[in-house]
Amino acid sequence: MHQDDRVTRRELIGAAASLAIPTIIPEGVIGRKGRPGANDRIIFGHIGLNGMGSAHIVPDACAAICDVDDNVLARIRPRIKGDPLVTRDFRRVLDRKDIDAVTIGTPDHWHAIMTVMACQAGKDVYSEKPVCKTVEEARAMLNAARYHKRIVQIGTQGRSNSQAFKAAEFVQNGGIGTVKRVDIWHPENFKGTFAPISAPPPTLDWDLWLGPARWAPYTPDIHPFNFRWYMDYGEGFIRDRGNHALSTMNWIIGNDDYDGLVECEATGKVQCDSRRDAPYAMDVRWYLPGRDLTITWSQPGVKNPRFPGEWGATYTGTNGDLVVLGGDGGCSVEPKALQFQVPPGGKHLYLHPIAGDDALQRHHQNWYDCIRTRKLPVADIGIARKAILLCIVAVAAYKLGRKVTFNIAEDRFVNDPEADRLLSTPYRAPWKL
Amino acid sequence: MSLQNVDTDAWIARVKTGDEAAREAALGDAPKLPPSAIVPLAELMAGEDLGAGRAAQEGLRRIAYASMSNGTHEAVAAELVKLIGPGHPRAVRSDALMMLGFCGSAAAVAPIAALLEDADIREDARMALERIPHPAAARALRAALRRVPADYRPAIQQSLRHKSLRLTAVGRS
Repeated sequence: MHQDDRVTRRELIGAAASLAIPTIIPEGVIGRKGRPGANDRIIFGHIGLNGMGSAHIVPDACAAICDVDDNVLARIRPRIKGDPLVTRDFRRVLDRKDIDAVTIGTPDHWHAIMTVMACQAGKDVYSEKPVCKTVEEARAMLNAARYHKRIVQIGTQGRSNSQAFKAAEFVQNGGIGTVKRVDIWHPENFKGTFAPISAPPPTLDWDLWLGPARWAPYTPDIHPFNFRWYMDYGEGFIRDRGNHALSTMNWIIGNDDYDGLVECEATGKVQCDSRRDAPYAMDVRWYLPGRDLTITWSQPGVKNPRFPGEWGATYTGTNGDLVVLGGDGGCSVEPKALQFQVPPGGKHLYLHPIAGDDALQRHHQNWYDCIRTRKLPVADIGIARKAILLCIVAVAAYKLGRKVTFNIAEDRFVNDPEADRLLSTPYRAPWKL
Repeated sequence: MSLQNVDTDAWIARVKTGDEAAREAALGDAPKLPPSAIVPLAELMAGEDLGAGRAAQEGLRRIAYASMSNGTHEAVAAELVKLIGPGHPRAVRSDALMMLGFCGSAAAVAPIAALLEDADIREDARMALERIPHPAAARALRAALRRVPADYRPAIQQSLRHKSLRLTAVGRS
């Protein structure tokens, strides 16, 4: 049962929710039986420590850190208390019986395999966005979480942002009527130049970095960070920030239960003076016939002049519109939503209570608490899958250069065996779902 | 869609200008290039002009992705097969195999399967066969189990397993 199905639990959680770190309790209080008890300390393993990966580290409850880049390990190790395992190979982290939960902050093409393997190893998971690359991966992650009864939170912390929360309550209580359109604008991808192809540095396990992706020669343009602009790994902002934007959108308009058809067309411009092959500017249009809802994504798009920001969305309904800027941990909404109070009998949504207003901290705490209570977190993989499918379908439409129709419930394109060849991606051995 | 709208030599001349706007416009026309453009584009992809090469790579992909819809996939696959042999740069072979995984059918299976014994490119070949839904691809993989070195058989078995896996079961084992 999801927490936003109920009236707010703020008054019930009380003081416990104000903790930003897992509660530390004397040893040997309650046996685990596959999960921490309500008073047990959660022990973490952290996999993928660059960028946002380092933001998930719990330094005084960490049994292992893992990265394929020795320089990253060296930078992070001093932050960790005690004597953690330090390794390039995430499988050694998953083998550890003393680790309850793992965070995954690796590049995108690893998220699915690591999440599935972590679930199979009995670990709860916090995996960074974007959720994954393919329809099959999204299904595998959901299957693994449910079958192994694991708590899997995806790092779309817009779901824990208090301003996005206000926007969601405003819109879902009819603030703009029935939502007919959501128009998202976002900057273009970062462009590059032809960086040299070279031998990988000895401090980097390039083969393990590639993992399931097809072999490609090393270039410093890929690692770190700029893997995002390559089709084999990131596929551009459409899956990167797009995952944030569409996840927050689904929350705001109450679209998490949509299981119907999605029609999609997409075009993109590519850069030819770089090896970065993801389209640096995309224009995408989705139509959800089951909701009569049109969604667009434009790079760079047009900022809404009434409430401009680097990226955001205009929500247009039958009775007005609303602008929401951002969609990740940083969201800003117009005053009419910020000042909105749910009327008697209205719909209350759920925002995990913490002291302070840091969305990432709230998102973490929600996960920690759900590890104990075994309730599904606010960005549970089941919810997160719905957003990433929109991104994945957009990339398919772009590749094929034509309109596609996807059936969310059936995880397939409609009468389209050509598009169905894109449902999954073969992996380099030995990696498999 | 008319496939003969775009002349290959004229298209290549446009991407060789070095002008990004011209290349962008040329890429918009790439799906209309004929299958016979594939080998010349691959030569450009492997050339010293990195920008033109990148445009050619993108053009190849767009030809392949459009081929199923416009009915040229058999002809396109036949041209892509010419690029997977050992006489071509690895990057060209890898991209051609990736695209064959998308648009290839029975006729492409045998030449791809022959590469399962080429240690440098066998993973790309295996992954292409894994993606091709025609039963001939699965038969070729099974037959390869008898030919490949013993330490490579698990990879072949991985492909066969993935081909047989139902979506509802993936991730549950």
